[in-house]
Amino acid sequence: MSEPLEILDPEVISKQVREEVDRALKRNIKGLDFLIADREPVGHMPKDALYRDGTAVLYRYRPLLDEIYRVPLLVVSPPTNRGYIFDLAKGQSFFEYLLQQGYDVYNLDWNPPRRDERNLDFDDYVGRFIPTALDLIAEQTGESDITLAGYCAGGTLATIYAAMEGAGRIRNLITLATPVDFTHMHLFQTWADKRYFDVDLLVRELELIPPEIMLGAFDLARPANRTAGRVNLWTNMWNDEFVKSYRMFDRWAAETLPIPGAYFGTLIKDLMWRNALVEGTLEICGQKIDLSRIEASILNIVAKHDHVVAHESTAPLMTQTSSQDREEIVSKGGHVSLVAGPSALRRLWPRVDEWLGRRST
Amino acid sequence: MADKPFNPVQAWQEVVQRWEHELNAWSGQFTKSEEFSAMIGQATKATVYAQKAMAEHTETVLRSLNLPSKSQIEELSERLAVIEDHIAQIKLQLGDGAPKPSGTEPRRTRTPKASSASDE
Repeated sequence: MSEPLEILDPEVISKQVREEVDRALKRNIKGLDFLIADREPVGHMPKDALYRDGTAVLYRYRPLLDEIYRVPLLVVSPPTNRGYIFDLAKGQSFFEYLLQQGYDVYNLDWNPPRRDERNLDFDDYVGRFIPTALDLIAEQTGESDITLAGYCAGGTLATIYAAMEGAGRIRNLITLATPVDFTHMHLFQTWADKRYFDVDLLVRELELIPPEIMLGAFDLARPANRTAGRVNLWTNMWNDEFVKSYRMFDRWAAETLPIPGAYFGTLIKDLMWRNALVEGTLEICGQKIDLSRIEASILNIVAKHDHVVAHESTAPLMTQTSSQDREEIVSKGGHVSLVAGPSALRRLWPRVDEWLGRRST
Repeated sequence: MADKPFNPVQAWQEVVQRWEHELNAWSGQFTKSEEFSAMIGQATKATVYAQKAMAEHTETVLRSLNLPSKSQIEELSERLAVIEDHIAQIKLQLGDGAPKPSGTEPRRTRTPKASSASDE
């Protein structure tokens, strides 16, 4: 508790009043700027598109160093999100960090799917887009080995591909907040409860599933976040760095992508309801997916306070795969904090570099 | 006690944080219930039907006014997107924007720093 005498100290009060008046003025001025400002620019590292097939785009980020690691790295974005989350801003960009450490970074990213892509399914994402990207990278680099990584649902796609390929060119598999055991996706399980959720109706009537359908579930699970975020924004409106960061994350969240109905149907029916990836009953391109076929070195990264992907839902990566080289990092923070932000730059990414550098020569 | 002087802004932030935490915790419990599943299932279904009915009604009105409807504009937009997609693919096949490895490519001989390799 504060001392009453200190509270009444006129000098302390006077200083606080001055600071608050100054901040209030800045809030009002910058608040107006905030309302009329353009979208915050994101994705600043130079990159080249190597391949485009409808929703799928493969980028190569231009290497920063004259000497890079032999094994290239392909990061698969989640189909619901823009890949610029990996390159949000200078000084807090995952890709910038990896490039500075000497990795050859590729990103399989997604454009909003067109209506004529409504029938794209896991067969296309795992059986067509990923192997095509791998072929092109092998052709460009001349390397037969690769590190495959993925964030959130992008990690699930990468994992399924690694299981489909078995002992092949995937030397390392890095999974960031990657759901595998969907029985532990509690929010989505209740949201898409088989008894009440008519997935066929959604797929049939909407064809492309709009992001609002899924974002609504997030908002219900964390109803205070949006309001508290706005309140914190107003309180920190005087702080340019805070406002910039808020606007970048806000833009990213607002630009959540729709997903093809067929993909959504498989996600709900096979992964969510049947837990088919863990049960070994998932079929992609006519092939049963067996996690035990994964032999690559695995780095499984989870966020301690992730309310989207619980630690338990990533567990099969550490228990059901055949890899002899598996490591797990539980990082402080939430779902997005693994791939963006200054704390990941200080705490998590150096550990990723330490792990991956030794396996990229 | 040598506590910091009272800071009203910090106190306000703490109140907001506590409110956020408590409301989220309560909602977290509610969203685990079967009632939530039933409610959200019905709400999703109702939203889809309502959107469909509204879209059909709006489309009829626009057609009677001889104005393009959302679905017609979407159709045009998709055709444009397909054309853009094909142009992008052609450009990539022609090598415009997809640099091939050349003499300027970095050497792929990097090894990790000795300190980080020590605990393998």
